[in-house]
Amino acid sequence: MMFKQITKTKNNEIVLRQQMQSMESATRTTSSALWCGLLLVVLAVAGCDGSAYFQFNHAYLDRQVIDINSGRPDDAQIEISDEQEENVSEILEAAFGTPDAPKIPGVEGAAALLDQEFLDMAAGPVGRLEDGSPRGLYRQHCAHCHGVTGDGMGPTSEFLKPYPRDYRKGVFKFKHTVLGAKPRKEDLRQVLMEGIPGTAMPSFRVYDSQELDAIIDYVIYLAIRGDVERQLEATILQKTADEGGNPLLADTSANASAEDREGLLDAKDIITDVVASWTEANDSLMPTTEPPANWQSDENIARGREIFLGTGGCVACHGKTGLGDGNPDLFDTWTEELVGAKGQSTSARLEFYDEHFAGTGTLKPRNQRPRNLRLGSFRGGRRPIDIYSRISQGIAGTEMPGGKAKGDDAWAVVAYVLSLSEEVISKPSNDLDFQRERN
Amino acid sequence: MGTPSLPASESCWPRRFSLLMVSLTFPLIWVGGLVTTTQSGMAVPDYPTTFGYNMFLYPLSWWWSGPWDVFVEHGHRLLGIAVGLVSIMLTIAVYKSPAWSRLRKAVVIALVAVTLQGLLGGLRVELNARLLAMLHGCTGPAFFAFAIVLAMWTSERWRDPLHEMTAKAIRDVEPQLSRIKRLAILTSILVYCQLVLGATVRHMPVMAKPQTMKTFVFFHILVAFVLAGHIAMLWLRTHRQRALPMWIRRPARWLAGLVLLQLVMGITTWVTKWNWPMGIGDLSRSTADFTVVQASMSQSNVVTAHVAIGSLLVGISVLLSTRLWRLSDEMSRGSQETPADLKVTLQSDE
Repeated sequence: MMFKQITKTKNNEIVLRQQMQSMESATRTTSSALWCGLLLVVLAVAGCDGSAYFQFNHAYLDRQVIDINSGRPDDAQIEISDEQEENVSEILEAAFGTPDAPKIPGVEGAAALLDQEFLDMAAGPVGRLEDGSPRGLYRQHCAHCHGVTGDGMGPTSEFLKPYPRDYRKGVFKFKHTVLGAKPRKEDLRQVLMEGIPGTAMPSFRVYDSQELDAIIDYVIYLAIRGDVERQLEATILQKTADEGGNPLLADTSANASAEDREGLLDAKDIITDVVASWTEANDSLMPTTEPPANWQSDENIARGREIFLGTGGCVACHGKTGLGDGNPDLFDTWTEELVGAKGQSTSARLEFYDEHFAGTGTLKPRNQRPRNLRLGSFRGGRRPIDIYSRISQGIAGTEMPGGKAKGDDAWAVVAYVLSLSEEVISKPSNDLDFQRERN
Repeated sequence: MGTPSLPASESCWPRRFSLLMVSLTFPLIWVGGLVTTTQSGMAVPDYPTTFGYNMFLYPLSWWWSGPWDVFVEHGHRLLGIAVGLVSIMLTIAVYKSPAWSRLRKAVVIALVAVTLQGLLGGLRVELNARLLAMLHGCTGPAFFAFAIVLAMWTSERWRDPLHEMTAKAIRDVEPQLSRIKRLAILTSILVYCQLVLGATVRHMPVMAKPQTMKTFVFFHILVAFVLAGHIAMLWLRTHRQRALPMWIRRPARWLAGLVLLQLVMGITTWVTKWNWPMGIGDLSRSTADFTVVQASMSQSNVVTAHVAIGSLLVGISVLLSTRLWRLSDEMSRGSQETPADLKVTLQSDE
C-alpha cells in the first residue's frame, strides 16, 4: 500500500506540473479576455470622468426661445448664439467662481448670507485637508442626485421617483415661510435632518452640525447662481429680441471699456435682487396661530372634514377619500417648463416635450401625484405644525395652494388629515358619501 | 482509503501562508468596499504616508479616535500591507522548499499583483482619480480569486482529485463533466463582468449623464438575473451528479446560496440607498414612511456586504471552475493512459 502510494504521488507530481502549465496558459487567456472587457467598460465611462463644471441651463433658454418665436413671423425668428451662451457663463463665473473654487458674489448681503469657509468645505472633490477638515461635502452627499450644478440631473436622478430637486429656480417645497418666499436656513436644515420619507432624499442626522451648515450654504449658493443664470438668459434673450442680431450682455475681458462692461452692472443688480430674496426669508416666517384647545376632538375633525370636502377644495386633487386619486393631470412648476401650455390634454403637453426636449438630456416629465393622505406619511414633516404650514401656505412649486384655510380652520383640516391615517385604507369613511353621490 | 498525506520532505508553510493570505484578503476587500461606501478614499490625502507620517508610525490613538473615514482608509492601507507581508512570506516559504518549486512562478505573480494593487490604490489617492478607484476595486476581487486558486494548488486534494471517487463514479461523471466545466467557467466570467458592472455603477463619475447611469444600472440588474439562472443551472447539474465528489458539489451549493443572498442584498442596497423604487413604497403604510439615513450603519453595512459577497462569488466560482478543470483533466489523462497506477487506485477503491 505504501509503495502504491509513493508511486502514485510521483506520477501525480509529473501530471501536476503539466497541468499547472495548461492551467497557467488557460488563466492567461481568460484574464486577457477579462482585462479587455474591463478596459471597454473603463473606456465607456472614461469620457465622463474629468473635472466638474457648471452646466449651462439650455432647457430654460430653449423654452423661452420657443415661446418668443411662436409669436413671431418666420423671418423674425431669434436664435441665441454659442458666443452669447459663453458670455452668460463668463459673467456667472466672474461672480460665482467654479464648482472647485466657488466665490461669494460681491453684492450687498451676500457675505452675511453665505460663509466662504462653508462653501470651501462643500465644494471641490471629496477629501480632507491635513487639519482634518472635510472637503467636497456636496459632491460626496448631494451631487449624485442633484447634479454638480444643482439642476436635479445628477447621474442617479433618472431612476428616482420623485426626481431630485432642481435648485436653479430657487424654489423649495418644504419650508415655514409664506408662499413665494425663500426658505430659511432652518427649513433646509430640517429637511437635511429628517430627510423626506418615501423618497431618495436621505436624513443626514448622523453628520456633524458644521458639515450640514456647509451643505446648506452651498445649496443656497447654487440656488442663487441658478436663479441668476435664468435671469441672465432671459435678459440676453430680451436684448436679442429687441435689438436683433446676437448682442452680448457685457464684455467680460480685462481690457474692456467701461461702456462695454456696463452690462455687468445689470448682472450685479440681478444678483443683488436674488440675494436679497434669500436674506429676506428670515422676515417671511408664516403667521401661525396656536392650535385651539381640543383641536383633535371629534367635532373639530368633523369641521375639518367639511372644509376638506367643501370650501378647501382639497378633493379636486386628493380625492374624496383622501387617497390622492383626484386630478391625475398635474405637473409641478419644474416640469411645466418642459411640457405644453396648460389647458391642453396631458398627452398633448407631453407631445410638446417629445418634439422639443426629448433627447436633450432633460428628464422625461412625470405627472405630479397628489399625496395619499391615508398613508400617514407626510413628506414635508409629520409634526402638526408642518402640516399646518402646508395647508395654510401651500407647497411651493406644486399645485397645492395656500390660503384656502387659515387659523382655526387650518387646524381643523390638520386634525382631519391626521385622522385619515387612522382609518383602514380599504374602507375610508368618505366612501359612503361618495357612493351615495354616485348613485 | 484515507486522504493522501504530504510527503515528509514538503514544508507545510506554503499551505499555511496561502490560507492566511486568503483569509486576510477577504476582510481587505470588505474594508475596501467600506472605503468606497463611505467615500473615504480621499480621507487621507497622501500616500504612502498618512498625513505626513510614516504609515506604520501614524499614532494609534489618532487612528482610533479620529474621523470615521480616516479610520476606514488608514485601516484599509494597513490591512493591504499585511496581505503584502504574507505574500512575501509565502514567496520565501515556497522558494526555501524545493518540493514546492512548481509554485514559484505563481507566488511571484501573487507578490507582484499585490504590490501593483497597492500602487494602484496609492495612485488613486495621489491623482484623486475615481477611474483608478474603480480599477482598484475590480482588480482586488481578481487577486482574491487568484489567492484562492493559489491556496488550492497547495492542497492535497489538488494532487489527488480522484481519491474520493470509485471507478463507477468516474464512469458516471465523465460524460457530463466537460459540460459542467464549461458552464462553471462561463459562470466565473459572467460573475466577474457583473462585478465590473457593479463597480462602474458605484464609481460613476459625478458629471456622468443620468442616461449613462441608468444604462449601467439596467445591465447590472439584467445580468444579476441571468447570473442567478446560470448558477441555478450549475447547482442543479452538480446536484444531480451525485457521483461528483463533495469538493465540487459543495462550492456549487455555496454559489447557489450566495447568489440568492446577493439578490436580496441587491434589493436591500437599493432600498437603503434610494428608498423603494418607482414609488412602490406608497403601496403600504409600513413602507411609505421609510426614510433613508445617509451613512447609517445599516446602509454602510448592507452596501458593503453586497460588494463583498460579489467578490466571494467571484472567488468561489473561480475555485469551482479550477477544481472542475483539474478533475476533468485528471479523468481524461486516466482514460487516455489507463496507467497501471490508476488501475491500482481503482482496484483499491473497489
